[in-house]
Amino acid sequence: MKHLKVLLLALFAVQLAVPGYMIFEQHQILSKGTVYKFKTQPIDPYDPFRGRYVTLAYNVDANPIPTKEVFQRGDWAYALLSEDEGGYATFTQLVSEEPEAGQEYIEVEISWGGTNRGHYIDLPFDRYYASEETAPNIERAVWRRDQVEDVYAEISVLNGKATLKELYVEDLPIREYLEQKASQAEE
Amino acid sequence: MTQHNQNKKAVSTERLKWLQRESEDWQEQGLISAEAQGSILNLYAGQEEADARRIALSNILLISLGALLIGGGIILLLAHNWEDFGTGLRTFLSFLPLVLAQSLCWYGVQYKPTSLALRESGAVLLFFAVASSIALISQTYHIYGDLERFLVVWLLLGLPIIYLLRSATTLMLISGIILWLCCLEREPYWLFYIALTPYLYKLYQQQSRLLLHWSLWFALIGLTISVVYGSSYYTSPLDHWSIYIALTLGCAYYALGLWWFGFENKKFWTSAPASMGILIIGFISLMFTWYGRTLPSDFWQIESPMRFNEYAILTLFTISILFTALFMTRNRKLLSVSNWVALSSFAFVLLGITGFFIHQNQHVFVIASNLYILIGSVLLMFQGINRNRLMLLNGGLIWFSLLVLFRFFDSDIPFVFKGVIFIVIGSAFIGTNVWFKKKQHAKESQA
Repeated sequence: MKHLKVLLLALFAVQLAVPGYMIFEQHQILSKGTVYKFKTQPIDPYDPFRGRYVTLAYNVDANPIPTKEVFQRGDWAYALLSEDEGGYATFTQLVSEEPEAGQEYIEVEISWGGTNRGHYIDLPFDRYYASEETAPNIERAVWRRDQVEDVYAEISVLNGKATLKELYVEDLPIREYLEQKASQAEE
Repeated sequence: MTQHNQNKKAVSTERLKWLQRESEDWQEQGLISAEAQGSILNLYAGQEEADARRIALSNILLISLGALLIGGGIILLLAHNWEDFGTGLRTFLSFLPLVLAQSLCWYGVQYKPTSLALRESGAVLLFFAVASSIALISQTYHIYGDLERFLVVWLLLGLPIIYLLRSATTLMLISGIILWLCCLEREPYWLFYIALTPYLYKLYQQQSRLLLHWSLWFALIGLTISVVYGSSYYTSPLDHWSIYIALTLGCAYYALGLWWFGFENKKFWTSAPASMGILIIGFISLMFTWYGRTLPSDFWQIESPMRFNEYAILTLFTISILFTALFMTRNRKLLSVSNWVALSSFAFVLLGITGFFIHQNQHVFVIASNLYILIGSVLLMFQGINRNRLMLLNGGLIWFSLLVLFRFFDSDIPFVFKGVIFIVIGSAFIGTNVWFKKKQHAKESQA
């Protein structure tokens, strides 16, 4: 019985530690990471546990990333980061060795592709969670108006881990943008 | 509740009092020892005691269901995504249900260690609180993560609850999560069912009737669907073999049921392995009666590579074959006719494996399986009538009717041929009946 109680307490501790570590890790990345802008287009699906979210389809993901190495689907690799002339993030290459200090990179899962034409990847920040009301609004705001060109996500990157900081439309955080649109519609 | 309590025969309170009085007399007269008196009385439980047991069981059921709904409710509330709450409040909310559920479990273990209801409901709440906690954090920080990862973390953090809080309800929930994972990804997550077996065995030892049977049904249905789904799809290397894998699982379940719950267990619900086995055998054998879905044409489909999942399923396949064969050889004298009807379907597994190597004609297979169901179902019906067991009779009838229905719509057989066979079998039925009646008549008149 005593052993059981000790084990039970240990389980409780682990159950608390896992979410605790998740929070800690996110805070580290958000506070210490380098911020990149990723051009994106959101669409709105649903998760039974975490509720509504907006799936972000990134422009960097539209083309395969070049690589000199051989990868299988499901492998993990390092995607080297750089910025284009517009100030948006791009990936220059996929490598299997962890890059040296000074070179920013993100750990990604390899999707389909090949050594010749490069690989598509699964980006580890493709979800933006929002409430049932807001999620469809985000999608509508971005898709309906053709003039909305400038949609991007701010991604914080630290030691290969990346986390989504905020979603921007026309340089406004998405919620502010939606509020502005709503007040414009009222006027 | 102890093991003894559950095995006691329920008698009315007056009878129990009578037995107490009488047995005291017997003991005073020196007919039996005090020990013997004690153990005799121990065999029976008064009606009130039995009632109390039933009430306790329904209590557990209701409380567990309540906990299930509350847990689900918390998850849904948090999934709404309260955007106006700041990060601090959201972090607090992520931990709140978890800490509350942990406290409830601790209270149960520390102060009410005998309360099964408190333990079960606490465990269920804790199980859901883990999920709600991870979910809310992912939501707050937009953490990437597909459903698969989420379910794996939940499973790993929830699995120890079964053992540390001895919760069968959690076992059923976990069975569901494993099944969900297998249907999501076709990865060998079904191996997690192995982690459930020690607890199932413990429930079996405790003779815990209600919880054992529910848990077994959940686990077996989950395992079967997971394995079949993981092996039978277009590009699976094992696609050709999955029908044999399913049938072997059915035979192994059936053998396991007989082994665990005895050859005399006649109830469908309380022998989950045997009943599940029967359902699989009945269904798969009917699939064998069609052309084109029996003999594997490739050893495995070479274009898709064998991965860990395939090797694991093959291992399960082999173990099931060995177990069934061993069970049949060791118990061949104990098996009844209906047992043999079910277990002889195992021959098709062997036929499939050998048939592949010797390039057997498919006709052999199709004819053998049709004959098998025809003879088997009729034998079951006879057994049902002779032993006065409605379940066997009905089972045989359903099996037979499905075979007839399938053949009636079977476009592979010419109409004339089908018509003749139908008429011959129909006449045989009526003929047998007439002959049987006559025989009985003769017996009666002799008597």
